Amino acid sequence: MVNDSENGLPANVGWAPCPSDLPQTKDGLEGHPTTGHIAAQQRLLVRLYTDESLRDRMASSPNEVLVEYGLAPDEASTWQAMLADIGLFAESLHIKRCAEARVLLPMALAALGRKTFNELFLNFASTFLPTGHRKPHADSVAFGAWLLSRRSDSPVKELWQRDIIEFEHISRSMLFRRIGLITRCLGHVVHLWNPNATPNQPPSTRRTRYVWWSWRSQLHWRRVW
Amino acid sequence: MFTNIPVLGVGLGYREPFKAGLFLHRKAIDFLEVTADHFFGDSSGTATVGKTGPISPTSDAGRDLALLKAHFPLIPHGLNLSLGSAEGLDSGYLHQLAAVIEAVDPPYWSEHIALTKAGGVEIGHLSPVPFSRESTAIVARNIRTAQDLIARPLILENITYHVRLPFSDLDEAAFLGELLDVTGCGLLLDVTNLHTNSVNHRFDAVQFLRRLPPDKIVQLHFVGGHWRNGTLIDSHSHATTPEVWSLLDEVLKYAPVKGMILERDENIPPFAELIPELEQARALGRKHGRW
Repeated sequence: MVNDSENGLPANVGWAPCPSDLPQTKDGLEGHPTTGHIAAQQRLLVRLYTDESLRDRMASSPNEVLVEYGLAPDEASTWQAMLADIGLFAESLHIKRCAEARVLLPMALAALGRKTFNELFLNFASTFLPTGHRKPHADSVAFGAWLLSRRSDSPVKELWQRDIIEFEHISRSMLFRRIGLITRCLGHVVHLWNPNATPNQPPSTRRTRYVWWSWRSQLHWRRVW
Repeated sequence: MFTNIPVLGVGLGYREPFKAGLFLHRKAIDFLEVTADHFFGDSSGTATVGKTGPISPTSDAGRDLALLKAHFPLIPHGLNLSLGSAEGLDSGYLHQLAAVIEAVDPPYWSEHIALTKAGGVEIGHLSPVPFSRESTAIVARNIRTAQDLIARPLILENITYHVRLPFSDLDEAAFLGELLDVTGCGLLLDVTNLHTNSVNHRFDAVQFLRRLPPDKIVQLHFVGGHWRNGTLIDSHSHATTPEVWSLLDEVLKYAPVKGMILERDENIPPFAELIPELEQARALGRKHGRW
């Protein structure tokens, strides 16, 4: 790739005319063909940041992806040269989201431990992209649901961990979705003294009903029976 | 435009965990920067278009904002306007932002020079735009759109970047200078971001600073980051480093700065541990006669 000798940046590939050529319309650039080209590049860039499978496709079949996004195949080498940096950006985005989730899900963090929490979140992060202006909250609710929805290959091995995660998930969902009332039965681990129990015997459990309600923006909960 | 802005002093980027500490240490904080997005009305982030207006004083966001406004000068800071978007601004977001700014009634507001969304996809992070004249024209057009709705002066923040976009015909300092000139906006110079970029992309931060118009530098950000795999990360997670303090000293000597904000988001320590950093920043500003 050719480098700009002054600033060390790669030279433009198929890039646009300078702004002195741009029409002086009310909206500045609207209607100019360059704007459409930049918009197409931005659509692709944003998808590459957030979609691992597209990054893989860009690595293996760049021309196909560029045509899909309305860009010329002669930009392929430029985009491929950026892929490593884009991958690092995507990784740092996942790490940032994970840090935010640790703050919002302290009980799940304590139940799973930091290492397992991080590993699970980074697995989850590529399956979900939060939207809206409360992305960390959307992420924490979706991560809780993801942890709880997996049955056969559940990464949450212990029942007590699941209880804690579900308890926190319900509370977090109520705050995020502004739900007024939820009742739910949770499996509740009961450590009964049992002189006949063998060391490997699973712990006894009891189903317990909890109710959560929101009143004047404050969240409350109580065990019912 | 920016000479009439009052001197603000040293403040803190407001985060909810700081609420109690703020009032316990009121005298240590001259002003607050509030993230506008945190005060948008609809927590789910959906169905915002056409449903915006003045913030309800009885909503959670309205009450929090009123409480903060009653005790501190506030500066609204946007995260997700995506001034670099070639496809234009998200009208729903812009109206929400305008409602917060109207409620705060600040001397100015700030946003990043960044791309955060395109084609209906939100990154959730700040991506750089190419340092080019085309980007300047796009950002300028979007700023005009925003200014049709928000009359307050706008200052633009420099971001860190790990992706070096190839579609650039300027270097970053030239791009910033041209953008400030074309738009008439001020600069929110994130000194930590400048230091981080200078380390990761190997340039001299002080030389970079000298190429910026001093009279346009209105406000500063500062904090510490961390290293990961040989790259300095702007994580807002640690105390301000000696290198950043040294650069702050240069900036305060160079530009008639009105205010500086400590931005701490991660690894948040007990509130009292932030006070020495605020005091050090205050002393630095006094040393250069900024307040």
